[in-house]
Amino acid sequence: MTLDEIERAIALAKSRGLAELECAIGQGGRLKVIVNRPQKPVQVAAPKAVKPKAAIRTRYFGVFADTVPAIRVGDPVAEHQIVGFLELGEIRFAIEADKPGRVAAKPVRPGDLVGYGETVFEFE
Amino acid sequence: MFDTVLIANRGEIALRILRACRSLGLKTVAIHSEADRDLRHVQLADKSLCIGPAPARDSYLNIASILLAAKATGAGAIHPGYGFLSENAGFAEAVEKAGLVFIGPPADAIRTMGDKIAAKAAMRAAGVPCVPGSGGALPDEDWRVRHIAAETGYPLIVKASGGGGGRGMRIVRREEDLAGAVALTREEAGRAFNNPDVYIEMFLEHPRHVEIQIMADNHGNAVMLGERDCSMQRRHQKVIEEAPAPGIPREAIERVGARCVAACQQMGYRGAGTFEFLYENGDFFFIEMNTRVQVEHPVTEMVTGIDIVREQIRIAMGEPLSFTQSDIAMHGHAIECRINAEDPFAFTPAPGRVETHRPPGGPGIRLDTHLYDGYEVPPHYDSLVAKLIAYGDTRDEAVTRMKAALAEYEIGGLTTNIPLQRRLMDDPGFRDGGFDIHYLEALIADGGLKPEGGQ
Repeated sequence: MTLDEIERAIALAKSRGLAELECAIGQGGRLKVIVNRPQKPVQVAAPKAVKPKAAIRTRYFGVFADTVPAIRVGDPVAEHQIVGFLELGEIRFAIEADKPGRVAAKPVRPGDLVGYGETVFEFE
Repeated sequence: MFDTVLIANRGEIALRILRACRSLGLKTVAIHSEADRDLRHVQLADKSLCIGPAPARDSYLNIASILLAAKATGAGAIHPGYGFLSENAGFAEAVEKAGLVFIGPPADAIRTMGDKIAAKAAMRAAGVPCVPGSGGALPDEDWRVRHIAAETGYPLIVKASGGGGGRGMRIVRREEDLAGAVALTREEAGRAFNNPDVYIEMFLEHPRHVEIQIMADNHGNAVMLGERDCSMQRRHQKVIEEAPAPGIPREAIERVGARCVAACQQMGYRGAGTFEFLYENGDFFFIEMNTRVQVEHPVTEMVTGIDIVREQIRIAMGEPLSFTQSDIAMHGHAIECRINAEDPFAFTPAPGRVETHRPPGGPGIRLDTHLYDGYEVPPHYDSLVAKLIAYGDTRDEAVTRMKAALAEYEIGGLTTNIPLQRRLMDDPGFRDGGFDIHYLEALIADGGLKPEGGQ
């Protein structure tokens, strides 16, 4: 490969706005061009008021247990519905949904020790 | 025996306890409030559990929650640290009833020492010197009060039994003012504390605060670890502590220390404890006993080489003390500056974010802190964020090292009392040592401590 070929590859990558270009060149040779762009000033994202997703948080701590049948991702949940339990020795606290919604995520599994204020269900 | 310790505290002492547990190969559980998820010891503990919202009454003071957390995490012992539940006899009892080990003294020792009059009676019985006075509530008859006052000596102080923290007390300098002061304090006490009982004590004009550290095990051994001078105070809050106390003869310390050891053995005390005294004109007067590890324990550790927190845990494991009285010798001098997140001259709390934490170092410097870059000091708790300790062969060397360390110490973004501590290291009264407990307040009142730059 010649210097000229390399320069042409660089020019090509730049003109097409590519960050990286890899090509076969000469006899079985390969050339990889990585274009180092001048760094754009970092755009400071205006602090958007990130709307916290509706979620069910614990009001106590304990070992998480499912209801029977268990609430799964995608299930609709009604207001005041019991969605799980926190167990502490012989004590069992019910976890209630404070508003209706559809479950988008369930970050805990049965048997997990869950602290106060932790999210156990996220809503869509 | 236990292999896991639940740390029922926060901040620097929680981290200190975690380190002591690790030195003994014990596992740790950090319980914390919602405001304390980012505490250093929470990150380091083997297990952590958020047990409630930020207010202490719903988390660090919630006995039921802490016991349930211990069960849920498999902890076999609870270290209460200082403050919070550390001197709550009901808590100590509940821990033992739950089949767990309380790392501290027996519940009844905590209870006795928590009651001012009972504590003094126990100390008198053990021969620990107390402030002369009526001992209990004053009788109603004026002539009997006059008689007790004459035996106590003037000036004296009339105090409400139910009072505390500087409330409900009156100084009397002459006999003709006595009856009026007693009547007035009684009336105020009845209104303010619902308890008209008052007692009298000799009034000390220029006392120093000198305290004796002891440790006792379950095998009848008790050892005195020397004294600390904590006279640099503002509103009963210690600002600087040091060991040994400058200018007090060793024999005097050893005499009073031996009485403290005897008192511990008499009451079946166990663990670490501190006997607080006022010291004036060569005499010690017992004020109270603290049945926990003290904030200022590091200065004793520096001059004796004993790891007090580690020893507390070993005692709770049922082991005998790892040293005897003859092993204890005080070497050199140690000074501790409390670093608080507060305005250095207005003393208002100043919680906030630590942008950069650049700790000082060098020979003889120790820093007990939970701070790190980006840590946010929450507004809900005590403002103590670090304890800077300097050790030297002599007091002068310790002060020199402390000055250098304070000059180096940078806590970017957070308002702290480091500027005040720097000023105090240069203060002639502090340099001389042996000042009384009113010294700092007088310095503040005189305007002797202006911010640097002298506005």
